Parts: sequence; C-alpha cells; structure tokens
Amino acid sequence: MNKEMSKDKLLSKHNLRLLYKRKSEVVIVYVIFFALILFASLSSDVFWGTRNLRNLLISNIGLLLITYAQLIVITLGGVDLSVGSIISMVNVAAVTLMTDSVGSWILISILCLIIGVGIGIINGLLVVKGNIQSIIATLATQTIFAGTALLIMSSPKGTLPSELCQFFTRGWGYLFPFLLVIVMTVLIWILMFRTNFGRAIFAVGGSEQAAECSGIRVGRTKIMAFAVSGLISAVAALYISFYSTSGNPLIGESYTQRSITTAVVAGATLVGGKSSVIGCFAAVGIMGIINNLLNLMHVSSYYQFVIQGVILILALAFSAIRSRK
Amino acid sequence: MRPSIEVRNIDKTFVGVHALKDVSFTCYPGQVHVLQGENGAGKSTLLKILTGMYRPDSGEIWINGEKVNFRHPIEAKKNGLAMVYQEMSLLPELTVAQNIYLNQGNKRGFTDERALLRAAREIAQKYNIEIDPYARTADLPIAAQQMVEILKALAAEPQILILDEPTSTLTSTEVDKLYQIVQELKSQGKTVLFISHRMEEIFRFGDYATILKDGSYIDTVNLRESDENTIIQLMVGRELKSIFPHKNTQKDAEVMFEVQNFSDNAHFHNINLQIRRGEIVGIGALDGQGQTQLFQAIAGLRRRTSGTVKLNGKEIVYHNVRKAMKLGIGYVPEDRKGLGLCLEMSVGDNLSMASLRRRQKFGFIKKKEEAEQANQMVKRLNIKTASLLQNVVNLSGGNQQKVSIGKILEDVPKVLLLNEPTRGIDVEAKQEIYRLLRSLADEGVAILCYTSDMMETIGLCDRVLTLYEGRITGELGEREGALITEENIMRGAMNQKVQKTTGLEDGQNE
Repeated sequence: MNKEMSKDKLLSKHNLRLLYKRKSEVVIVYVIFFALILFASLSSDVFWGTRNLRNLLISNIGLLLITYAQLIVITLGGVDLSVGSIISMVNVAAVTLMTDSVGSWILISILCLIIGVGIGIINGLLVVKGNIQSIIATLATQTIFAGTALLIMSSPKGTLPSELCQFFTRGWGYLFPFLLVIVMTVLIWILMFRTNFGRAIFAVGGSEQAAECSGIRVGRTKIMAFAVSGLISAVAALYISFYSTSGNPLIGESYTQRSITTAVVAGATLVGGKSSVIGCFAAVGIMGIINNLLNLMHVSSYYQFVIQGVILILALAFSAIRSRK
Repeated sequence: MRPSIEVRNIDKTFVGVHALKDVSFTCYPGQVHVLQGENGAGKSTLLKILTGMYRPDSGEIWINGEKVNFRHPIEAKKNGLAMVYQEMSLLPELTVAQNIYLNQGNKRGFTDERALLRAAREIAQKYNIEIDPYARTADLPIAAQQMVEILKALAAEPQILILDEPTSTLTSTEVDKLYQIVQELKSQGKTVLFISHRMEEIFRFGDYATILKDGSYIDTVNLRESDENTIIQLMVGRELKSIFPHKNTQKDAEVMFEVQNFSDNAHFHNINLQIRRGEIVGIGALDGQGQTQLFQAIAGLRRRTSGTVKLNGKEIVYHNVRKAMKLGIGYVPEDRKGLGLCLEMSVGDNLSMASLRRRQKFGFIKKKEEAEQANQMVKRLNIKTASLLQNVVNLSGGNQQKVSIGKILEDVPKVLLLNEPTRGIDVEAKQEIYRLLRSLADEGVAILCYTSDMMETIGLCDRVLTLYEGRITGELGEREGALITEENIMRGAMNQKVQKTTGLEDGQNE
C-alpha cells in the first residue's frame, strides 16, 4: 500500500479525495459562497454593479482581518473576546492623537500596532502565567480596554485625516484595499502553514500534552500567538477606523462575536488544532453578501444580528455532527 | 457454608484480546480472598465484571446464593458490593462528609448537610478513623483521602468489599487501621476481596488467594499453608513465544548512557542505571511502581530533586524536554492518543512535530525535506497509511503507535525511552516494533523500555532492572549472574530476592 509514495502519487485521485475529506468544510463554505453569489445576482439587479461590488469589498476587509486575528487564537484551542476592545482602543487612540502631518500618521499607526500587541501579550500572559482559560482572561481584558476606550472618549467625536482614509479605502483606484487583502491573506497563510510557529500553534491546539512531549514550547507559543493576534487586530482596527473616518469608542463592540462566527463558518473547530485561512475569505464573503442583500432589500439592520447568531449555531452544529462521525 | 461470591465460567473477549478464559472461583463469608496475578492477568477485568462495569461474554455470577446480572455499578452497590477504586473517585472540592455520602442521604431531592456530617462522624468513629468530616477533601493528605475513599465504600454497608491496591498510598499506621477494619468486617461475616502487590500484606490480610495467569484460573491456595515462593511459582510459567529478534551479541561494550541517584522524593528514589552500547534495558515491574514518573524525569518532562545524567561519559544538564531532546534523549510516552499524537492532524505533521527545529530556515519549514523524511519514516516503519495527509485518528492502533515512535526517531535520538511501546496493538505490529528496536540498538541507540507484558520484557531486553515502589530491587542479566526469567522478574517486582545462577553471593538487592 505504501511501498512507493512518489510525487505523482501525492497528486493522484486518491489523494485529491483525501484532501477533500480533510478540507471538506472549506469546500462546503465555498459552495455556499458561490450559491449565495448566484442567488444575489438573480434576486438583485444592482448586486453586480461596480459600486455595490466595491462597497462589498471595502466594507468587509475589516471583518476579514479581524477574523484572521481570531483564527490564530481559535486554532490554539482558545477564543479571543478582546479583539473588539482592541479595535475600540486603536480607534480612540488614532482619532485623538493623529494630526495632519505624515509623520504623525506613521508614528500613531505604529503606536496603535503596539497597543494591539500589548493587549495580546497581556492576554497571553494571563492565559499562560496566570493559568486562566482564554475565554475568561480575554473577557476581563475586553471589559478593561472597552472601558478604557470610553474613558478616553465618552461619545463619538472627531475625525481621522481624510487623505489617509481615502487612501486606505480607495487608494490607487481601489487597488490598495484589494492588495491589502491579498497581502494579509498570503502572510497569514504562510505564518500558519509554512513556519514552525504556525505548526506549533496547530500542535498546541491539537493536543497540548503531545506538543509538550514533542519539545514544543507550549507557553511561549501561546503568548506569541496572542501577541500576533493582537497585532493583526490592530491592523484590522486601523482599517476599520479609516473606513469609518471618525472616532467612536464603541466601534469594536460587534466585531468579537462576528469574528468568532466567521472563523467557525470557515471551518475552524473551537477545540483547536484545525482551521482554514482560505475558508475565512468565503466565510466573510457569506456574511458580507447576506448583509449586503438585506441592505439592498431595505431590511432593518437589527435582523443582521439575529441572522448572524443563527448562522453561528448552524456552523457549530455542523462541525459537531462532523466530528462525531 | 453458602458462598458469598461464586464466579462460574466467566469468559470475556475484547477486540483481539481474550481477557478472561473460563474463570471460576468461590469466596465464603468471613474470609479475605486475595486475587493475584501479573500485569494483564485479568484481575481488573474480573473486578469490573463483578461490579457491573463490564458484562461477561458468558458465564454466571452468584452473590449470596442468587444469580445476578449487573448492568451498572449502581446495581452492584444495591446488591451489597462496594469497591474501593485504585484511582480515586473523590470529588476534590467537596467536604469529606459530602464525598462519603455522595448519591446518598437525599431527602426528596434535598440534602441535609447536618445529617451528613453526623453520619460521617459516626462512621469514622465506628471504624476508629480520625478525620474531620467538614474538611475540604483536596486539603487532606493523599493517605487520608484514601481512607475517605474506604469510608465511602463502607458507608454503603456492603456485604462484599473489594479493595483494589488500597494500601499503595497509605502509611503503615493507616495500613494497621485498614487491617483492623478488615478484621472487623470478617468478624461480621462479610467478604473482602483484596488486591495488592505487596507480598507481606497478601499474607497478613488474606485467608485464601486465587491466582490468575493470562486470563485463566490457575489455583486457589490457603495462605495459612503456603509461602511467597508458592505464590510466585503459580503466577509465572507463561510460554515465551518465539517472536522476538536476536539478543545483543556485543559483550562488554562501553557504557553509553547513565542515570545516577535519580529521586523525586515521591515516585522514585535513588535510581541508578546504565545502558551499554547496543543494549536494550528493560524495567521489570508491576504497574504503577514509579516507572512512568522515572521516564518522564529522565526525558525532562518532570522535575527531580536529585540526580545526574551522563551521555557517553559526559554529564549533561537539562531542565526541560526541549533541551533533553536537543541533547539526544527521546521519549515515547505510554498513551499515544493523549500524549504521543495530535489525532486530528495528519501523519506527516505528526511525524515532523518533534523535529521541527531540524528542518527550518529562519523559522520557515522546509516542506520538501519534511515530506521526504516523513516518507522515509513511513517506509522504514512500514506505516500503513494512504498518504502523509491522512489524519492519524483514521489509522489502526499499531500504525498510530508507529507514528508515535517515528516522530521521536525523526529527531535522531541517541537514547530512546519507551513506555509501553506495544500496548493494545496487534501481534504483527508488535513484532515489527521489536525488530525496529533491535535494529536501533544495533545501530548504537541506547534503549530503555518498560512494558507491562513481562514476557515481552524477557524476550526483548538484554538486561532487566526490577522496580518496586520506586526503588530498584534487582538487576537481571548475564553479567549480573541472574537469569532474565519470569520468576526472577516477579520476585524483583514484588520485592523478593532474585535467584542468582552462581549461588555464591546473595547479591545486593535492597
């Protein structure tokens, strides 16, 4: 059976089937994604309009990036409830501190990234050194930093430099946001699937004890994973802030829940050790198109929350059924 | 007299393993009956059938003259059977009283805490045990917890009490207490079924002993009329199947790996061992004598309070697994599913997991090299998998075990520690692993191995150290002048003197 495992065997039909078996969640997510696109183009004549498509892209980049941040922690076997507060903190910091000089744009952006990494490291230390479950640790930091954001800015006010906002969301004829998505996706994919660090994240999520027995530094891997997750959250936060152009201390609130939903829809299991970067793209697409359709049909945006909750339950039920098989 | 327990022709087969073969024995009220046998002789399975955890394939159980057919431990309890489990079944956050009367004392769904405390105090007094019923269980020392466990079984006022290794965590004062309790039960005409690896306790507590071997009934002896030798003779005598590779032919090779004065002051004490080039050294012991903790300490997974390690004559220092692995010490843990593998990850990812640092450039994985090495390992160990992408969970036990070993081999260890390398796998895979270990030893890897199957220890190992309660009690091998026989291993494993072939000296087994 396994006498020769040459290269062409790795590409044989059998292995393609195996690949499907291993990655069926991703395939299913894409099937749903394309089905939704089909449904959207049939049910709405403006869906394929350039304006709507552009809108779809730039309004969902933030969610995609924050999903990547969540994905790293979920792969580790945890969950990060603090991503929303990182977004609020970064938004408040950027709006309060940024002036009209290019120097301040760069400096404050870097400061924002440091805020993200810092909160991530705090999460990691609480989980590893404090031996607290990630859901509790990040619930605490979420509360602390969401509160801090409100202390700094008690109500929505202020704006970000409009040139910067323009560039991030429409720069180079919409090429910049497009490239941002591509570059971030490729970077995350490489991090997860082509580095020792990424492999260690999967191993820790798969079985912490087995990882330990394999000489993987479990504690360090966790802290670093939370730090990287914080960094990506900060990047997402900057984008979300530039997209909204204004200051709002509650801007991040909904993102925690949405990022968990999309990561799970993309095929990650909440016990860890399994996730898909490529699937996130379609998962965010699904959420985005549903919202887009509801907007086009002038349905109250509150329904979107209801629908997202239902989708999360369906996705979790689906993965539970699969793992029982 | 009417027998209290009658086991008639019990047969039980698990997937591929015939655990109990037509076992029958009888116990009478007012007696302490000892069950005795090697690892895997079928003691635990028999107890689990008695208490309703397993159901026999065939055969009957009669309790107090009535045929019973327990489907759940609760039914056994209702019929007057109570068991003190080896692994503690107490809930650490509850009080002593709550634990003793767990699932009891409910008054229409409510619990009466005061009544619980009173009852717990009474039963402790009755059996002359000093314990605070209001104490949080986790705060008690381990020996006191064991006494709570025993009280919990006694609280059900059983006709038949089963004690599975009850003394392994007790101090001698508490063992005396337990002795008195058992005497009290005897005088009340109750039956006690007793398992212990301590020979002196078997004779102190027991009236009769039933010996099992390889799942079969061997004999029941009156302990007042027999001695240690008789018991050991009855326990041993299994057939050595010729499925093992050749033994080490090199004589007087240099010492490659040495462990000196290893202690953790809890599970193992003052362990000294040497492995010569080309040698497979075995640990001969009953289960739970500290071998796992010793392996973990050598592998850097567990702290030790004292001890040094020498590799090729030079002392090496490490305080974690990672460093130990870098220095060339590889450990294959006993539980492949929990400790050895990430089941939901692929064969390829698992194989490379312990050697990531060997195939990296600035933290990036060299995928081509990784796949090549994994493919080589699949071929070398004859791992039957459709591809490297297959998830480990879909492989058979034997192939999972091979992945668990192969993962450590990819890190090219100089010293290989294996804990239960063949547990629960088929004979063919076992043989493949024996051959692999021998060829590794021939290539110069120092191998230390524990397996609960003593025949495997005999067939595979060039030298055997016997371990009893965390201490080395004997050394068997040609150089040591003591043959590696089942009897000698059993003697060492039960803290008896091993028999020397020369007969000139008495040896130094303390």
